[in-house]
Amino acid sequence: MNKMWTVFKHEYTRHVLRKRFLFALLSVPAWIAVMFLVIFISVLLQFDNTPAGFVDYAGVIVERSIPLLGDEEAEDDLFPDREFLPFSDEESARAALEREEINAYFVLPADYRETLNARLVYNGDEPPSSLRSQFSRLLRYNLLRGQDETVVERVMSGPELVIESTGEGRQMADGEWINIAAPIAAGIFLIVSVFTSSGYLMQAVVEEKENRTMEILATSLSPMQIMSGKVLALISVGLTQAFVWGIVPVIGIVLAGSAGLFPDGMVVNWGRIALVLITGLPTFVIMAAVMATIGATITESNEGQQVSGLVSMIVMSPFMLISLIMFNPNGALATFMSFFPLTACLTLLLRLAFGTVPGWQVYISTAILIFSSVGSLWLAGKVFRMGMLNYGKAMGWKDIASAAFSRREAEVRTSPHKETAS
Amino acid sequence: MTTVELTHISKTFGPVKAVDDLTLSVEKGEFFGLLGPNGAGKTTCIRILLDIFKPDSGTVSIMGGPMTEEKKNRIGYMPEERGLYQDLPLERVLIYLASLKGLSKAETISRMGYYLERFDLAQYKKKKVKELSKGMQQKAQIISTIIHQPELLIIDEPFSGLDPINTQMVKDLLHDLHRQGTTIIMSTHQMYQVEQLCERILLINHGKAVLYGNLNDIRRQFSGNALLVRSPEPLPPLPGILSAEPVNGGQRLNLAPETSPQEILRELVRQDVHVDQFEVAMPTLDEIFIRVVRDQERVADAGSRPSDGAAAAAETRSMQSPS
Repeated sequence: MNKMWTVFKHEYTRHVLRKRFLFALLSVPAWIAVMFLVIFISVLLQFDNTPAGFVDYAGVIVERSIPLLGDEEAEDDLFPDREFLPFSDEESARAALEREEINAYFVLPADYRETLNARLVYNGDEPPSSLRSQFSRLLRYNLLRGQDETVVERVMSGPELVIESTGEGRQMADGEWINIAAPIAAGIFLIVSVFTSSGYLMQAVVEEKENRTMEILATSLSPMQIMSGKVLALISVGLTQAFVWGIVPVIGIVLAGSAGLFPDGMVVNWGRIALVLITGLPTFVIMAAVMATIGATITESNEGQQVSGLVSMIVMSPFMLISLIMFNPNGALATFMSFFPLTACLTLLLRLAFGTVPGWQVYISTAILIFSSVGSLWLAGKVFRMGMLNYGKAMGWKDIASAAFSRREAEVRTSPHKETAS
Repeated sequence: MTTVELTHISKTFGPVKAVDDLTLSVEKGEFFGLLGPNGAGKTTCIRILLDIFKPDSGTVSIMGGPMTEEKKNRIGYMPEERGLYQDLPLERVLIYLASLKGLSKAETISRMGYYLERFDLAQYKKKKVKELSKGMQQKAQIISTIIHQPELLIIDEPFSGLDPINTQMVKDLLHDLHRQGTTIIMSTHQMYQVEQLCERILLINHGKAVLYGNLNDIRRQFSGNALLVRSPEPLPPLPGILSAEPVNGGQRLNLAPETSPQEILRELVRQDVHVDQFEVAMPTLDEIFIRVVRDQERVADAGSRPSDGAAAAAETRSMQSPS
């Protein structure tokens, strides 16, 4: 087996089996699951299905339940609609209320059709708003009785509102909120995955330098094999993390959707998912290469935190400037950030969430990202060879530039540590 | 067949010339000692021959040519500062490092069992490396260096951190490997270790070759005209002795230039002196090194005074240089 894959396998299992990684990996979905559970339990506890009553002096309500209209699907039995019980007069309804057989009752006076005034009577706590909306719906259905079936469906389902901006040609329908939330969520997952996993890589490289394992590696395989194996492992660690973090919300959404907690009309935008992958993977590679380079150029792990913190700030900057991107998704700043390798992925995702991005910009940005990822790997390989055995002193910018652009094979030019020269 | 050949290699780090015009060759199956004080350039020399560093000038040939990825599998290298993953179990570290040398997992496990038993580490194989003592880590490092049965073994200070029992254990192992035909290059500043193990040596100081060649030849060359005699009784006056000094319970007899050891031996027999030990006094490598370095310093001083140049050059003729 190619030694690069040996390094890959070792690095991947080493990071994935770390306690802190497993904790981080499982804590997010566990937190999401707990949140869903808490919401579900609280909804369940607050759910009041006690029947309500009505006194219909106007003779409006003939049907006490609404049949399924058009393409409506049957609700599950977890949260069934409440039942409305008819009463011939207010006295019997009040008596039922006092016996707590119903929690409220509506009174439709004889002149209801003219005045459209109705009364709600309850005892104790005010009934939930869902009671009123359910009764209104029932009332609306009965008032429409005798109308054409299509008209009934239209009126009952309400308007499908499409919000359209004349400036950007951007439109968003109800239920497409997921297209705003998803890129932001994907961006957050991506960033957290990149940071945590590339942090592991930097830490691992520094540790190998600190405990001199790097010398053993350097005499067993080439720096490029070491580098490639590590970067591939890092990407896989990040993808594992993103997969686990991503799959749980998806399961949650599916479950929630089936439980009727989400509105209909959620559309999966596969193009956008493809864009997340196409821009996210090179971003991963760039970050991995950057972090491995930092790891190779420093001598102690805490030195790397400052530099990696700066890189993290740059990568996170689209989130910091989200208001600018939101109000002007095709402005100069947003466009520039779409072409800058460290910010391109997130900026594109955010711009697509709040507007449209010209196709040529997406292509150029993707091309820049892919070229940058290859370039950063090449640079990292050269600097890695130079820095991996440089124990005594962190490399400066001059040393890094020398490693990258020297025609000779990269080698240590900084002041040698005592072992280096011994 | 020559396993390693460095020809006029030099390497500079900024203002420091770590290796200066060094030439050496190591034959197949040889036990070669690379000697020198701390900071002499030994590790740089090793890193150059292992292709970790490129020399500024000179050529490197290893196993008949430049270093290749395939050749790396046939080399075992133990760096001076030990390099094992501290937070992983010993067994896993050994399997991983062996796999980087092209060894299969099954083969590694089989060989690992033998070496762990031999070095009394079998019961610790599930422990994390950081939980092992320094000596245990040292032995584990040695196992990781030889587990793939390298043809060329390069070990840097193999005995540091080992107690006498473990030192002997490692020496026995090196002897075994040497008998099996492994070419061994041992780098150390502990010269007495080299005296017990190596056949040929290169002694370097400030990156330059100071002594190079067969160990016994070098010692004989620096032995001078002296004897080491040990006797239970005081030695009688002997002819041809310039001076005598006590050494380790015996006497070091410095002979006059025209006196030979055989003449002294005949005289001792003639006088019926009981002799426990009689040998030509060989200087230790430490003594040789100190003498050579001092000679070099004198040459350097003399070099700054032109009139003394010829005399200084004559003084250093005895130094055998590889280049």
